[in-house]
Amino acid sequence: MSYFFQIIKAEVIKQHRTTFHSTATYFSLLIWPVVIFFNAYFSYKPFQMTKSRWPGLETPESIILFLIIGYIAFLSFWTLVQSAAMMQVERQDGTLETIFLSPGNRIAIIYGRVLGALFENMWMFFSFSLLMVISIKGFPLHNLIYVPLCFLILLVSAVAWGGLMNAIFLFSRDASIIFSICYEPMNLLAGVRVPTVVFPIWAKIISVIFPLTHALVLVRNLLMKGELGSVLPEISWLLATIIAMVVLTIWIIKKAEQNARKQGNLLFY
Amino acid sequence: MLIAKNIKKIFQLKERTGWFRSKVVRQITAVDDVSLEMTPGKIVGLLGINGAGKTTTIKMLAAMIEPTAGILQINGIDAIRYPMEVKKYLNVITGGERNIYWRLTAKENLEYFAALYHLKPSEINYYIEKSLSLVGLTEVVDVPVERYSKGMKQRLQIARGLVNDPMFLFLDEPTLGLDVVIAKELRQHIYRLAKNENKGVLLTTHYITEVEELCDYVYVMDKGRIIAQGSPSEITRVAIPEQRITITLPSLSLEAEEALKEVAAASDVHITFDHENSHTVVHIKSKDNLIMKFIKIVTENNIPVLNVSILEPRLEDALLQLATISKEGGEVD
Amino acid sequence: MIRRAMPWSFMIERVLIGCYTVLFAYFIYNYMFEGNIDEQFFQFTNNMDYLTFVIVGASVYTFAVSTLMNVGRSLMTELREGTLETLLLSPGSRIGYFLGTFLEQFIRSLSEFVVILLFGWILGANLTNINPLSFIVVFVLVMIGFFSQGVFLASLMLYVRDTFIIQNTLFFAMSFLGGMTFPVQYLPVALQHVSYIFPLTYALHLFRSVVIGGQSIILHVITVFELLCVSVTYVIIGFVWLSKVERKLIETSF
Repeated sequence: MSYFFQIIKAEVIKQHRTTFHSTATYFSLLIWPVVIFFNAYFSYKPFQMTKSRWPGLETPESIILFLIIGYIAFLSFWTLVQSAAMMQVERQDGTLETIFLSPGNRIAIIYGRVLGALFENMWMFFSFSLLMVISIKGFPLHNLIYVPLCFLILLVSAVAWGGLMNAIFLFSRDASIIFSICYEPMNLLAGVRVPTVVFPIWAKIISVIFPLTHALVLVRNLLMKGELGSVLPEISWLLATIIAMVVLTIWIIKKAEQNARKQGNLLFY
Repeated sequence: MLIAKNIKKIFQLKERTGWFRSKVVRQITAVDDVSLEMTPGKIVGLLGINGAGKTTTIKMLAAMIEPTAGILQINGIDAIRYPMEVKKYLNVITGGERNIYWRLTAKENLEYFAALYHLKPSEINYYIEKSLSLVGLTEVVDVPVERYSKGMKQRLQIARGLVNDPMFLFLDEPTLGLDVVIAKELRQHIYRLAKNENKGVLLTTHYITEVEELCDYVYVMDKGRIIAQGSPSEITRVAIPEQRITITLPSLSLEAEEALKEVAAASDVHITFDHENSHTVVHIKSKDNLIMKFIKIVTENNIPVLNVSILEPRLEDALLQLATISKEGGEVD
Repeated sequence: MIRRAMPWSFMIERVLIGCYTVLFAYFIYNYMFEGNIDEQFFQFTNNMDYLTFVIVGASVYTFAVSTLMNVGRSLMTELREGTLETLLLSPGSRIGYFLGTFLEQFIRSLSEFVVILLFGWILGANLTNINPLSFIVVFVLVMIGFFSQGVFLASLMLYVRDTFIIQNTLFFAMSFLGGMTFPVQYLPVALQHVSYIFPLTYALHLFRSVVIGGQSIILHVITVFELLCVSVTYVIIGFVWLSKVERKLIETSF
């Protein structure tokens, strides 16, 4: 077990050290997400807030909190897709081959990558979010008690998701269809900007596919409404999706390595 | 000990026929019926022209690719069924600048790879210090690799390959692209690794001097098969059994020339004569050392000898000869 | 963001983004607020229907992005392909070059615009009052605006030697400040002033008022004048920058 965590730690450190803090990083991980967030906020302005079908969204402060939670979760998931695509760079550089030459636990390597990428990619927007929440003074303070739980929910679901993405990009050189599925559809149908509870049936059915949906419902109910009891069904859904993602990740990694050993194709060239 | 018996690797080339569907269009036998052994303390060379199957063989021996058929045992463990068990005994060092993280320093690279081999923190520090010292990179240990020269990157590759203190080391063209000084240093490292550190080393290279300098035993591959094996001198003797002798004389009378031809015919020796204006050169190809017989005939005819040179066959010539035989579909005894 | 570098895949991506923008508006309007629009919105938009407002915004925005990506990236594409020197050292007309790149991609950009408009119409946009003549007049003005901005963008990208940061920052800023999904009047005053540097802001105003709203273009002559001023400014700055780059190129080549 200690070897497992040793490898996770090594991967986290490696991710931290190889992440290049260029100007582009600050734009793509902070400035653009902030603009996107404000764009979503102002999109609510044309409507009569008091007529909202989700009782939690009747004031500007509640909209900000709602969207902040949505975007922290969404960006965590989305940036992990982008980080997973970086597997291609490791493939081209030959470092992926070097990793698979070693007896290092593959699952630990993948989840270490994810954890490292998550912290590197999200700290800036997370800091902005904290500032926003503090500045609006509309956060229900009695729900602060749920903050560690919500953090854990988002962390575990994002890591499970990131593991699956890494496994998919490990297996396939060309998984660009993932980008098409993961950005716009997930942005709309996982309830990032509009709560899924108001969706029509067909959209609700599609939203169930995205693990992000369940994480968002849970976290919003806890932080905005403080209702632990009512979220028990969602907890089951989320647990089921997390377990499914982890099982699928482990299966894909095993298949990927088996395939690579038969085809000899860990190298891109 | 590493024992490979009759290992074979067939790759299937597939063509996509639709989403999630493909069909096999061609099969390529990259390695066919290869058997070889590695023992600690010995350096084995694996030679052959490009496309002979050397890299595929190394990948199979390093438990990276699964052989299609054959047996591979490393320290008694079935490496085909239990590849993860044997990886801790192995490592591969390739030529070039890939396989390391350029944004990390040497120390950070080695710390990362050492963790993958389950080394304890105290072991990691010890092996990092030892391997960096061995390759002469202790003074640049905290410099990002992207600022290293090609030679320094290659040396870091060696340090990375040693980080788990492997029993068996595979070197795939390790001196590729390096200048003569660095290449010489690297060969000395490789020799020390085998002789002083008791590692089993398998080396592929296109530089024949490296093979002659380092290898105790050589396997020659072509089209996926081993076409010759032995020590470098054994291979040379088998491929080019004859000595080449050149005798330069001021002139050569007809009687002397006939006498030389008679001796040559009787002994299955190939002899040719170059008659220049000022001298005659006699070229002799002979399996046996008959130089004294020829010199005797010349001196009996009162012809002074201006020069005698004996050309020992080289491994490079032997490999060319083997490649030619293989290309023509012949077999080497 | 990482994307495959094929022209048709960019097209599909832009159309999808436009359609999802429209879908988001549809969801929020129908499912979240059941059509309950704030009074201020009607004041700002002269009683325009919300869905039509957003659908026009999304389609014109997509046309803008398509034009800007094709015209704006032209010089950087030449640089990456190694043909920039030859181009800039030739005596050929620069405006002719840019017009050529614009015309080459015009049909593709127009199709993206039409597809999103059609999608929006299926979802309930009110496009029945479109006057063909006013559509053509406004569209020509809009093309001038985006073309000019494209010239400016091409020179800026070449001057700074970057496409990724500049184009994405511009597109995000345009979608936020240009009035795509909400009237710019909702923005803080300082940001409203910034919105007027984008031709998109004027384009959307004219489209919504004249083309959809059926108002006479005479009533919006000031907006037309402002759009043309902004366009001319972009073209001038663009060519000034381009001449600087050309001079530098000549100095380094010879």
